[in-house]
Amino acid sequence: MLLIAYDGSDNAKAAIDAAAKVAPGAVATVLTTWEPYSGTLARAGAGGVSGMAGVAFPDLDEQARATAERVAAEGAELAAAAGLHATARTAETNATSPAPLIIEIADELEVDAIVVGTRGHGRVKSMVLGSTSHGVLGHATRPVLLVPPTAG
Amino acid sequence: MLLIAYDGSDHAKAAIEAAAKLMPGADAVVVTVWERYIDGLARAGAVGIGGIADDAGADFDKHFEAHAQRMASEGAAAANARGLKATPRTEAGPGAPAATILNVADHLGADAIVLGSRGHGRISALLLGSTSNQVLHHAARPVLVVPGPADD
Repeated sequence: MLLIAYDGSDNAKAAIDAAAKVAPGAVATVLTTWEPYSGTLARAGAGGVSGMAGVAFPDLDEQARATAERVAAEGAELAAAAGLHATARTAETNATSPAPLIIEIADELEVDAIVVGTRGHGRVKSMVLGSTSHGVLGHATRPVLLVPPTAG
Repeated sequence: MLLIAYDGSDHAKAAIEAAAKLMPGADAVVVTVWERYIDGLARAGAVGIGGIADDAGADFDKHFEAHAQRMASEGAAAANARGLKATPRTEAGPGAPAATILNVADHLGADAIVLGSRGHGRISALLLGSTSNQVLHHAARPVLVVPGPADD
């Protein structure tokens, strides 16, 4: 079974195509992670601004969750169209990077491999690998299929 | 078709096992890269030493190539025993094997490159090994990175 990290980017779409080509017909979970707005704010350095830290933004969070669900469903559809037996899944992360959560879910599902694009929607681009793929690669104890944007 | 880089190490063996599990029955080329004596000398900075290379080099190269062939055959046999449809291949290339691996992958139009990584059950960028690092950073196709055994 595969765990495909999917953020809706072109590279993530390429990752689905590559996974389907490399492991045709495989069972796959398409995972989209989302971050509560308070986490994004804190990460953006706004944590200290007039007591915003710890303030919840239920509407925005609901929006983020709904978007993640839509993106994951889209990914699962793409994966199914490419011949994988795919289900969508979303997960809420409170960390700076979705990488630890991706690894945690991979361990929970005991997947044979994690599939991740080397570039995603992340704003800060590492010189070589995106931060998520780098984070996953750096800590996974299972095989990782890294898919560059040009592949597929 | 998969291109599995194989150097006989435990992590290369783990890579074959992971590939076979993930992509049962897939076509695979198991490639072992070796370096000509003269290229090794040149890399070691001995390029200016006159006269010793030719004859001795040819003998060494026969030996190196035979060794690489044995290794590639061993890898292909291991892959076939686990259900892949594998053929061995050796390739002489100067310097770091990464460039040679990438060239072979391009030549074959491989769907993915499979690499073992050093590391004690975890894939750390520092422990990836220079070959996998360089392949990862330059590959235009998917790369499956397989962590070595925990007691590697």
